[in-house]
Amino acid sequence: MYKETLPAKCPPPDIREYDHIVFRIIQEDTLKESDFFSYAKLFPNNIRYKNMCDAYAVSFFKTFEQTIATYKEAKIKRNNILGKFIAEIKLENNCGAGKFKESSGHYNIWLYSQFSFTQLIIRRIEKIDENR
Amino acid sequence: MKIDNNFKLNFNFLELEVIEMLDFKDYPILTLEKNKLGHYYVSYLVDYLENFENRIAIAISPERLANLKSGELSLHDAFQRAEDNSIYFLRYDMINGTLLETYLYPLQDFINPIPLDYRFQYLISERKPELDKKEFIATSKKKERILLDLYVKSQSLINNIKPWAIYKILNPVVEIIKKSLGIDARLLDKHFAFSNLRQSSLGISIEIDYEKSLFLDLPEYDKTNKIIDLFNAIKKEDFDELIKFSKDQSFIHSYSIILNNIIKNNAIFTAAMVNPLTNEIKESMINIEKAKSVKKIINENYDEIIDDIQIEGYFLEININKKEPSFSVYSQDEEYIIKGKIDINLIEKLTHDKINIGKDQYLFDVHVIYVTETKYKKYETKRFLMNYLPKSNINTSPNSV
Repeated sequence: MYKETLPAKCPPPDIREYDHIVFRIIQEDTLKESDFFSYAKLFPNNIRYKNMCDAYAVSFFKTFEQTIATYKEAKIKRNNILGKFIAEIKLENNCGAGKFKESSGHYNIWLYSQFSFTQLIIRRIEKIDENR
Repeated sequence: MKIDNNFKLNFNFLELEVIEMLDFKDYPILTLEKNKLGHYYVSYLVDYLENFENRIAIAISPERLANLKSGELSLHDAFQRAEDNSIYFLRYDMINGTLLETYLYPLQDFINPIPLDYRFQYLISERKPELDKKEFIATSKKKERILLDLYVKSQSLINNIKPWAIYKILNPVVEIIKKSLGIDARLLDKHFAFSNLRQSSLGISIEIDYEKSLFLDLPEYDKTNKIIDLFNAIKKEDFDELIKFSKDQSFIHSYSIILNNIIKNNAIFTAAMVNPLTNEIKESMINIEKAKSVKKIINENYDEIIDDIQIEGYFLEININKKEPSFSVYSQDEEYIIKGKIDINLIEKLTHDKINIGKDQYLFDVHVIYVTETKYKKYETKRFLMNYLPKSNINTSPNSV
């Protein structure tokens, strides 16, 4: 059902599907499959996070501003591995299921096996203005 | 963060296992980890440099961890006031997660890289707490009492039980049961008991006494299990059905208080009730979404809830000279003071009666209007004194009431 082989008791039982407009930091000005790779997919041999359910999920944000705030925080930490674009896309029920944290506007979504980035409706892709 | 080789250890003795992601946004920002002895550590991502994942970590006691999860303690302060006065700087291989280097900083040499305003939201699971049905039934049978088990989960209850959970959830539940069974407040200790109190969120069982009979019918259960129907009500018709079985609508007022506090505290409320004779268990669960939608129905349909109550006590104050005459009485049942307006038809009687304020006991008829809280107005309880009878009259002539 899910794109990746998940650890035991993953995802948690209190997840739900979302039919929302969301934002995600991506590498370039077009969507690629790798823009939706989870941490576990990027680092499959990392033993520290192998059993962590969240490592198999991908992040989306509710607003552009929340995405920028995350970018700024992440820039210090992630350096060159961080993308420079933000995509505004429509997340649909058949993309995956996950959890949403209201305070940070953060969605953690476990993608379904049928998910393909090509199915996403892209509303806009914007280059991040570093001075914003 | 500048690395000082003076603090580098020659061996990597910390064997930490990640047990929980406290903040994860595409990469592990904050993790909860455990060493082989079972001690907790929180570990914060400083940066990724080349192929290294650099983190800082501190040992943390379960009490402090609860404070951190509840938001009472910031992560910055948790590191700034590390319990064992030392901070670990840990360098991992980003690809395979192997610990490569360990630095141990004394607190005075540690430059805290965690932003002062860094906050993470610890999400409590919406998973329904597992009810051990066998034990629940067995306890009810053993105690020969109807059991109502309540569980309130909320971020603010991680560390301790806050007053809202007692006053705004537990108390209204007790009020609803009292009303449904018609239990006099003075007899509460005889019919009610609390047991199985669980902290770290509030869990409690309410034991309700019942009359033993040879038959399987249990009128007390028939009345009290309606509370579960109330918690499961999702449309107006469900409430109308419950009102049919009730003497008044005041339970909606009590339920509104419960719903408001589920919403206000982003709480998850579960309830289960068992019939000790038939082993029937009824359950319900209310989360913030359900509470919001049910509250909307109540606000739209029951903005004023009317209740007529009888109070036994004595007058504390009568003021009939005001534009709106007012009263205050001390309720002996409830042990609190009730204030309100005097019904205009009662003024003449009050003027003629010789009332001994603070001494003579009366039975008061009070008309209560609860105005439901909405976005724009707060709760309001309006009370009107409709009649009163001296208690001496009632005792000597029972037919007079």
